[in-house]
Amino acid sequence: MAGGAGLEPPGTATTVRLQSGKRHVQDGPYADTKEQLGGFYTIDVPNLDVALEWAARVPAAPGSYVEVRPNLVVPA
Amino acid sequence: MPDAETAAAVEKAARDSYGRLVAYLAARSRDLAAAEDALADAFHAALATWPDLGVPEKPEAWLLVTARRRLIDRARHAKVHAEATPALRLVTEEAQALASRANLFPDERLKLLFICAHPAIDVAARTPLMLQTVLGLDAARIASAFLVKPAAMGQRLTRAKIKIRDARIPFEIPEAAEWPERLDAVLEAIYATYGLGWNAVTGAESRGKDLATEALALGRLLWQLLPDEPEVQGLLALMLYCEARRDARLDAQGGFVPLSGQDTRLWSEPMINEAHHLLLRAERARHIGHFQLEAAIQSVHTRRAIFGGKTAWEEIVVLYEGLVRLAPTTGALVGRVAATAEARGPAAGWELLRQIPPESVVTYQPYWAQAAHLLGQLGRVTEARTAYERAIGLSEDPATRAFLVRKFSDLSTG
Repeated sequence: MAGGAGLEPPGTATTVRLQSGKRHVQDGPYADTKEQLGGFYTIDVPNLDVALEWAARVPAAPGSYVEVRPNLVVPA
Repeated sequence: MPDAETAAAVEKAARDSYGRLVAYLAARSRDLAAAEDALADAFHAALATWPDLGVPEKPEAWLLVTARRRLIDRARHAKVHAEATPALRLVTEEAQALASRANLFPDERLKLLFICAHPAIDVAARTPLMLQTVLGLDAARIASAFLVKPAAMGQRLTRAKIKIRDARIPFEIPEAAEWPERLDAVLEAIYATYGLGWNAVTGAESRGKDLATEALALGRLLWQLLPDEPEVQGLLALMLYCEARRDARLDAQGGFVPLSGQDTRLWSEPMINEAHHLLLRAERARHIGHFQLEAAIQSVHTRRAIFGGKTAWEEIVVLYEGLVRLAPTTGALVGRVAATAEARGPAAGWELLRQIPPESVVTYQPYWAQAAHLLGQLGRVTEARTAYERAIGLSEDPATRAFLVRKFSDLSTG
């Protein structure tokens, strides 16, 4: 296997949308199932606020959504 | 069975320090639910042991140390995320130091308020979360205030707390760049709750008053935590101006009385005075915001009580124009229409009303009530009738609905 990771449940998800340069943050996963997943990034940051800052910088088309979700932490 | 004296001491500690204790514990354990549980355990322990041992000299410190111990026990059992352990150890040391020194521990409630209104938290959960964690209200009371089943409200709150913990929403004061937006989210959450309370006019329903009281309590707390923030003062002033008129909004038969018909002697003078001083203080900061403008509009309305029943509508129009420029919400646009119609006649008001995008007002009751009123004044009876029907259909409050039905039938007979 080349790579992969589990994700925390959808309840932990936050969605970011960039619209005319402004960041819109919303609770919950991206809901529209007709749309396509365009890619994913794994980043190592201390908290959600920093993660959201990076999410807003994802080079995606304007108006597209970026869902932010923590990696699943398996208790040792 | 705890004696009355102990029960009173525990209750006092809960009332005075619940929010501060939860905030302090949660800011360090990063787990709101666990902090609340640990504190609940500590209160139980107080009820069980204080009757024999006596009420400790510093009840808050005692509760803090006890709750902290529970947090650590639980963390050991659950083997929580490894990085939480150093934080918990820090709480131990701090709590011990606090117990042996003065009765003071850092006030983290502001961080908690910012977390509750974080953009990643469900809008519907924000104020309930503030009421539960910062003011210590129980979920059943919050549920009844918001007209939600207790189980549903409990779920909403639990979900929000899990989100805070697992998505790692930081217990931090927002940075300068984010400050205005984040503060506005806190203010909006409080004001939305006040608005819910305001819309329920009917006296028999204590719900409106409850929600308004809780919103005011949050507003006061926020002002205490941020004494120099003009918009915080603006929001508190706005809520106080509105609250001052609560008793004048219903007549002896429980019917709705519009602002223009209210007996100004029923307005609360102390609340108006307090609002007035807050607004003056806010204006000195020379940093205008929409809550200050809305409060200023209410301030002009209340001056009617002093200046022989005359309202300075032209002044209100100017304030609404400022508000529309700053925040063109549907509420501000409709408010400007009403003020303009009073100051410059129904035709001028109608002209502005026509410019409001129709898609934004489909279910907005104040728009339809205003449209009906203006159309009636302009003699366009058929259109007025349709607008009244719509406004009546959108009115949730019985007193408001009865008032509109009366105006509707005046239209038909008149």
